[in-house]
Amino acid sequence: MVGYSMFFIRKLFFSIGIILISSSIHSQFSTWMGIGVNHTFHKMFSAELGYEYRLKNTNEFDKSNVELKLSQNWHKGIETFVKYRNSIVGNRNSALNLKPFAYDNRVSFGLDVSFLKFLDVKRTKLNWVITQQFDNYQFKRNSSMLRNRLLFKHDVKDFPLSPFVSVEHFYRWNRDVVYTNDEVIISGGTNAWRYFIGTDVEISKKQRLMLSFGFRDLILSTNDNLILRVNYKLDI
Amino acid sequence: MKQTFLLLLLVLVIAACKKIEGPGGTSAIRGQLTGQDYSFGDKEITTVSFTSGATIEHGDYWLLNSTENSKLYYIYYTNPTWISSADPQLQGRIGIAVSFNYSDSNIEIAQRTLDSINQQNDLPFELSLTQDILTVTSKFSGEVVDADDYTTPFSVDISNQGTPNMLGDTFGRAGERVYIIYGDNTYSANSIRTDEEGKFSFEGLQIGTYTIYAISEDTIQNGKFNRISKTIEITEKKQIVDGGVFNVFY
Repeated sequence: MVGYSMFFIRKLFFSIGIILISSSIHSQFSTWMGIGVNHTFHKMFSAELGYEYRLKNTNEFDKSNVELKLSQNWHKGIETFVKYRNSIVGNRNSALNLKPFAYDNRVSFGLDVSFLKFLDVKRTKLNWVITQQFDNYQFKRNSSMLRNRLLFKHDVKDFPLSPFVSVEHFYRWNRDVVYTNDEVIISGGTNAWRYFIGTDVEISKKQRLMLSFGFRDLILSTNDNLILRVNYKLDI
Repeated sequence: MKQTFLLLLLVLVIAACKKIEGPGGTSAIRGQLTGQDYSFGDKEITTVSFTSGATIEHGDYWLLNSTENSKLYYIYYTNPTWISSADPQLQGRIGIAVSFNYSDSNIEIAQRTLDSINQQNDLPFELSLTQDILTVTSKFSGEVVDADDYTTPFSVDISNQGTPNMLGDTFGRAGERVYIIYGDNTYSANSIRTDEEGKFSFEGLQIGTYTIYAISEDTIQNGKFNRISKTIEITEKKQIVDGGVFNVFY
């Protein structure tokens, strides 16, 4: 089973690598730097507080996120969570409210299923994360998004790296707004695909660094993103 | 579980983000811009021919107007031999009394009338007298409600109308700009151009009050422009509000 998983992961790494390289030509570059603190209590609950600073390229401010995530492990391999995220972004409509920054709020909840845990596979993860998120913007249309993320991760034995790949699909329930003669019709559609390839670096038992490189393919926009993501996590 | 639920509720409350007028909604305001060609209005010229004092009654009056609403006049004739007041006390008008005798000739009546009117300050017209004909020329171009002889036997004629001349038909104008002001702001935040029928549609608006306007040439003063505006309210999401017709002059 593990051998098959490794074969599959190698193939997936290769495929996503090809996607990232071929997509990098006409895309914008973003840098996401984050830090998170996680605490688990009563073995089944955990709370995570994170901060992330996003840059366009490597020097231009894009977004600043503060996120709180509460999760509950119901059964081996099945976890639910609820998240709140507050973002500060540059205000493109500052002439309307005379404020240089705008605040966006996001509430999401979801289910994280770790399939290989059912089979007691320790070092390899195959997770499916389904998330429903609601975004509230001041000068943009509110968003209701369904996200489906597939993650493969393998913890290399006796080595501090855990390489991973992930694919995520973004379906926006209110993506399209059509103004007909006498009514407004709102319909959903795929908003984006996002791919990540990277590795967790185990600094100590309670600290790890996540390094990854991703690509966000926006369906109705040419502003595709290449993403360099660095995230430090501490368990307390 | 109860705590988790309360926490979730708290999070949702925090997430409530105040929306104001502007982009980020699902409603629209539509309308049509129509236009009419015109030629500038002229200075209105009124001539009044007077009769002799024997034909005038104590209390007779005639009406004289101007382009300014605050400067509308009535000229009434008072004979000193009468005890009662000759003033008809018209509201919204400035009364000018002209004292006369029944023995006055038409030229004397004309001269007395001219002298009485000239006693007023900041007249919006210029006066000239030729024998018994008083010529009143408006200082400003534009529409003036015609003077009226009312109870007097005088002859009042308009020799030159100040009304702008409208040329052709009114129809939807293509490619013209229509502006939108969000909420109580003073200046427009966005503008769009009309289609081939003069129609326009501002879309993606949030609930709130908006001012839609177009720019029209002033029909009186050359080089001056006016806003033709309407205040329109969006009261719910996914609403299409008909802003109606905005008629401008070219």
